[in-house]
Amino acid sequence: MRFALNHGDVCSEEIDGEVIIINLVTGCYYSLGGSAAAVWPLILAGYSAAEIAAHFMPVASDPASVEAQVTAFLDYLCAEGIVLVSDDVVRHDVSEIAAADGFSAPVAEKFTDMQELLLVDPIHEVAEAGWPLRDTQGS
Amino acid sequence: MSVRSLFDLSDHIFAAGGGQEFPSLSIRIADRKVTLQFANERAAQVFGATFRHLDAAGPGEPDLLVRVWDPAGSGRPAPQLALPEGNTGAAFFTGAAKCIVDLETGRIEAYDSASGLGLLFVPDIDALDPGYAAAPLRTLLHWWAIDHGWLLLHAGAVADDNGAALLVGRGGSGKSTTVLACIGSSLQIVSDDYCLYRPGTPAHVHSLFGSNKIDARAIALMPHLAPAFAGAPLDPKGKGIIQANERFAGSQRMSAPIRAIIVPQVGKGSDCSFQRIGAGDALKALAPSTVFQLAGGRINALAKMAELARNVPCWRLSIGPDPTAAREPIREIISASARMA
Repeated sequence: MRFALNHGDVCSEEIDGEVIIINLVTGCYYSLGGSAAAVWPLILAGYSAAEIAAHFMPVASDPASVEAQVTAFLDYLCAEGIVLVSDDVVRHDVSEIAAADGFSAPVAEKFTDMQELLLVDPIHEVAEAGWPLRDTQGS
Repeated sequence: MSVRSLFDLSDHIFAAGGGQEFPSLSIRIADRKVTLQFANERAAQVFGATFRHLDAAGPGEPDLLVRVWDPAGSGRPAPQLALPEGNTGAAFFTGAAKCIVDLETGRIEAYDSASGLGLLFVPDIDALDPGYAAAPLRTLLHWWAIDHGWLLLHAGAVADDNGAALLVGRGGSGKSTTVLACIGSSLQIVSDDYCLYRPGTPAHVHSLFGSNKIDARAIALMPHLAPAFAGAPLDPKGKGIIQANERFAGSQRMSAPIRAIIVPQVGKGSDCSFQRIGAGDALKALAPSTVFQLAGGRINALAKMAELARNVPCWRLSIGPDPTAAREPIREIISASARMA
């Protein structure tokens, strides 16, 4: 099973070893550090949970648990609408994967303080054809 | 009525006005000429106020022409866009010509990139939220900025001769209080709450609006500002609104190179202090509050803000009970950051 960024609804940036993810629909944003930040580019490159785990097993203190931890992280990202399961994804080898010093269960820090702004003042996208067609081209 | 027909309607009102002269204001934003054309003097008075601190533009075609009208005050026709009932927020019509409709008030901003023409329609200027008049046309200016590779930021900015510091954070984080605390010092105000970011080496911040807003609690902390806010119009949150440049001569600067990003926070101690933070912490303070207010172009906006955060030093400023005590730390931050550039 492979995954793809929920394009159009989600944007992300890596900065100083931290990944910032914004869900434009829910108003939540997330910070990934440590192993989660290291896992993120592999997810975007179309690696499966098993393939991601294989990369980190050599540096993990408990290699047997790595795949389950990666799978749990992917389940969380799916539940939050950040990534989608996609059969169309073709894996692209990541040539410069940062060397991992170790591995800990990847987690995302979630922030909800902007949700109120989005709920009070939502922006409904409307295609040129008119309401209520949503623009499917993203923004 | 389609989005395109909004522009036809504005042509009918303004371009085919039988040679009628309309009040207008031509200003420079980020070295570009922007002309605001108003259907009547009342519109010019209400919407021109927050732009009058900007440098006047000379003759020549504007890069952006914005036509402003309200049927209640001008007697000009109102557009009739088909909108659903029972929704809050705004409807953003995507397409070659973009349009956003405030579903509560019926206010419309539209922009046609190909012709450089923008529209602002408000049903009744006298019923307008003063908070909108203090920082109008934000969505339209965001679309225009995208065309130039710039970005509208939700950020305050202050500057001295060494450059500018952006003050970033969600509403209520202390941006406006810190900005106004700089009045009376060598620091000048570039923006209170929204500014224009122009990438480059160095990147620049440009002033858009001359309005400043703070609440009674913040005024109580800076009693020297109280006379300026006496009788000032209030926004729906009870914040008083002034044009700082009119009240405090020389308090405004139009643009400056960006030297630092500052994340202000209300500290628990009695002193004002500052420390370096990572670019990620600055981006978390800047990006969500900006992105969620933008209609369109949001993914590229995050990338632009990340680029900015990577390229300038980022700081956390802990503000004590006296906001004016932040002046010297901000000057130190700008000076130190400029030396790092």
